[in-house]
This record gives sequence, structure tokens and C-alpha cells, in this order.
Amino acid sequence: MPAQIKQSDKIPSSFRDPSGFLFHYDGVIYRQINRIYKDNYDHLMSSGLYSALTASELIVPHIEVDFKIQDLNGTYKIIKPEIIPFISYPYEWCFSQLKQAALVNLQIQKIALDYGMSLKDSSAYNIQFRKGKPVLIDTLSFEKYREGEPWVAYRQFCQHFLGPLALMSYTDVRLNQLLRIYIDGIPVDLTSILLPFKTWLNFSLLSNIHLHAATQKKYEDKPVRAANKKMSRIGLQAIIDNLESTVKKLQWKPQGTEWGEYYSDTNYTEEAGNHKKQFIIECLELINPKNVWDIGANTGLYSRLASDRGIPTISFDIDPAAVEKNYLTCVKNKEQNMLPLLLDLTNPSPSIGWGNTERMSMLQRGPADMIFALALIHHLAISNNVPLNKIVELFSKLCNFLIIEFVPKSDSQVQRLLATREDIFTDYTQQFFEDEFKEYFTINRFAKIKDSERVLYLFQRKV
Amino acid sequence: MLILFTRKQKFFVGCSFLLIALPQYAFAYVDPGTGSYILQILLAGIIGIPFIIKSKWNKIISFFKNKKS
Repeated sequence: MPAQIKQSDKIPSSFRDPSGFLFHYDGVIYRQINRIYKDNYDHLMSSGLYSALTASELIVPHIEVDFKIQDLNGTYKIIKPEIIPFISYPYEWCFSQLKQAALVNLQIQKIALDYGMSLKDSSAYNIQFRKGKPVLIDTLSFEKYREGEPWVAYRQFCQHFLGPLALMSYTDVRLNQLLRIYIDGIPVDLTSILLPFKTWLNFSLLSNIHLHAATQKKYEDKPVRAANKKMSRIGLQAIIDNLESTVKKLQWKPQGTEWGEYYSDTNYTEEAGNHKKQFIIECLELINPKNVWDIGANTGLYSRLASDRGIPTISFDIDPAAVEKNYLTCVKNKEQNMLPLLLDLTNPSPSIGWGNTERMSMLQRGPADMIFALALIHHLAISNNVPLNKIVELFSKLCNFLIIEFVPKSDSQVQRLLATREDIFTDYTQQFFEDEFKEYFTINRFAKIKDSERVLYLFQRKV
Repeated sequence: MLILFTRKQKFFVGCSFLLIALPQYAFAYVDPGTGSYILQILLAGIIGIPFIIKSKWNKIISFFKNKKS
């Protein structure tokens, strides 16, 4: 008997696409290919494009499954794509992550043209990090190339990739956060306004951003007969080549931000640092967590204690420079278990899009098996005035196990934070910290760090 | 105050207010896709020939590089 798929089983990120949709069944993610997409899917598989892309690790691999479901749209096939362990979004990526994702998108489009297909979408949300590398996760993004047609995803590429990268490179790296507001990418006219004058002297940015915005404005209310407007294959290849060389030239060097030099600005002695590492290693060996989120990871020194043991690890930090440095290290060392991402824990990624369900909030993507919150608590409690009970409550939702470092008020780093604000934090004591955490967690083990005033805890959430 | 203006001036002021008050376009029907489509075709026309030259040049270079190696 065919399985019944309820609306609630469908994954909200794929509802716009008439070619098919993603759904959960029995705890597994499948993708239905609708009959309307049959020709394109068959061409993808039979032309050799799918094999070429999987061989180059540019697309997420899938298998076809014999799985009967009842659906009004008409099922052609059901495929089971390989699972991406952690879905991340472009507003959580650093500059080089977005740049690599853009280049992968263009590389796929170039290969697709060789096999008589073209990308119909150029959404940054279709790219995810798998084993440290960006890959396309939407198998239904291809359509047969029709001679004379321009690239239908050109505008989307400029909104999702080129514009944000140009803004991060020329104006301010934090402008990638506009992607959080504009779910279909930063409008080209807004990018044009925000870019400095010197970008008008750069032919590629002049044409793909500034003149692009002006042409959009000129034709915004004028109907144009598309049938009269054709573009040769060479012209299309020239556009892709131009976008690729433009993206390659865009650079951003981390400098002048808060945390980039953090490890040279700590109050740890070598002995204290080694003791801290030893405690974390012992906890990892004791618990053997399925995954780790390191919150406030900086450039990932402690995250690597987990990822080097083969544990899938997300290395979060608020600072774009730290995430950039961390990602570049991952690329250099070909690390497969680490994913550095941008996160402000005091304002984590919300759920956005249609019905607030298209893109998941940070909390929806949890809980993690284990969280590291090292040298973080004083930033939350003192810099951000978050009461300890609120911090405990949040961690209880985010993880099963927690390695957390208590940094007392007497610590020189806390004294630095208190130098410019009134000390209203009378409750900020080790005893109160323990009492608050005991509401939701049990203490598994703890250690006072040698040659330091700080204390490390391993907490286990009460069931 | 308005009484001090001539009819012609009143007409001009009235038109100016109308122009400010009425929206220049209805946002819901604005389609940025058309402009993107046109721009892409114009751009392809400009960069098409340099792209052909670049591709041929790269082929020549790689031919000699292969021969050398």
C-alpha cells in the first residue's frame, strides 16, 4: 500500500519548487520528483552530468528508492539524498565560505552547459557544507539548456552571491547580515547604493551591479517581448566567465576586529591552557558525544580537540575575522569534521521566510549532544546583562552535555569588562552559578584550572 | 497666502503637490527580472568577443605548455 505523506511531513524549505519537494518519512529525508520534472531529471542522470558532479564532489549524492507514495502532483520518482549533518545559511558564513559557495555554483553551471543543461536557480540556500566543502544540495536545480536563452538565474546569482561579496569586500564585512532580511538575496539597487564610488571604476561591478540596477529601474514597468531577445551560447559562457573572474578577485582580509588576535590576548599561562585542554579531552573520552557545538570558539583551538577525534563539530563565533581565520585553517588542513559559523548567542539566527518556516532558527537545528561554552559566561552575564537563570535555561534547550568555564569576578578579563560599567552583578559568584545550573543540570565533574582562578565544569542535563 | 499667487502659479504649485503625493509606480507590479534579462543580453554582447579571444589564447598557451611537458 502506498505511504500517505501528510502536509506536515513536507519540509518547508522546498515548497516553491514545482519540480518536487522534500519530506520526512520514518525519520529519513526523501525528495519527491514530480512527473513535470521527468525529462530534466532523466537528462541529468543519463547525460553523465550527475556522475560528473558527484565525481567532483560538487553535488550531494542520492539513491533512487522504490517507495510508493500518494501525492496529488504525480510522483515520478523518490530519491534519498545523503544527509547533510548541519544545515547552515549564508548569513552565518564568513566571507570565504560565501565566496567558495559562489565559485562552486559557477563551476556547476559551466559543467552543466557542457552536458546541455543549465542551473535554473542560483540560491545560496541550495549550497551546504559537506565534509568541509560547499556542495549543491538541490538535485532539481537543472533544466535542459535551450539555445538562445540567457541565464535565468543571473539576477539571483547577483543577489545571493556577487552583491553580498562585493559589499563585504568593499563596504563592510558585516553587511552579509542583510541576507537575513532579504531571503532572496540583497536587491541589486540596494547593493549599488551601499558600494563605494570606486566600484564604478571596476568594469565587472559597474556592469553586474550598478548598470544592472539602473537597467532594472529602466525596465521595471515596461513589458518586453522575451522572444525577440536571444543570447548565444558563447555570450552565456562569457557571462559565467565574467562572474567567475569577478568573484575570484574579491578579497577580504580580517583586520581590526575584536577577536582576531584573541589567543594572544588571554590571561592564560601555558600550564593553565594545557590543563584546560586536558579537562576537555577527558570529558570527550568519557562522553564520546555524537556532535559538538563550540560557542564562542574564536579560531577553533578547542573545537579541534573534538573535530580531530572525528566528532562533527560546529565552531561558532560572533566575530567575522575569527570565523574567517578558522575556515581558512579548515581549508588549508582539508578538515572534514569542522564547520566554522557566525553566531551571536544573544541574538541567534531566527526562523525566516514564508510562515516563518522556510529557514530554521538556531534552536530548531539543535539540540547538540555536547556544547563547549569556554570563557563565554562573563560576556553573557556581564557584557550583555543576561541573568544566570536565563543562560542556564537556554543551554538546557541547546544540549545534553555542557562543558562550561566559570570565570570569577576577580579574573583580570572580567575586571576589564567591569572597568567601564557599574558592578550591578552581585549574584555573579561561583556558588550562585552552581546553584542556578543545578536547576537543569547535574555536575558530572569539575576542575579548578591550574595557575588560574577559573573553574571548568562538565554538566549533564537532567532528563 | 495662496491668494497672493497668480492662477498660473497656483496651477504649478498644485501640479507639484500632485506629483509628490502620487506614487511614481505601484511597487507590487514592479518586476526587476526584465531589467536583469536585458542587461545580461547587453553585457554578453560586450564581453562575448573578448571572451572568445581569451578562450583561444588559453588554448594556444595550454597547447604549447603540453608540448613542452
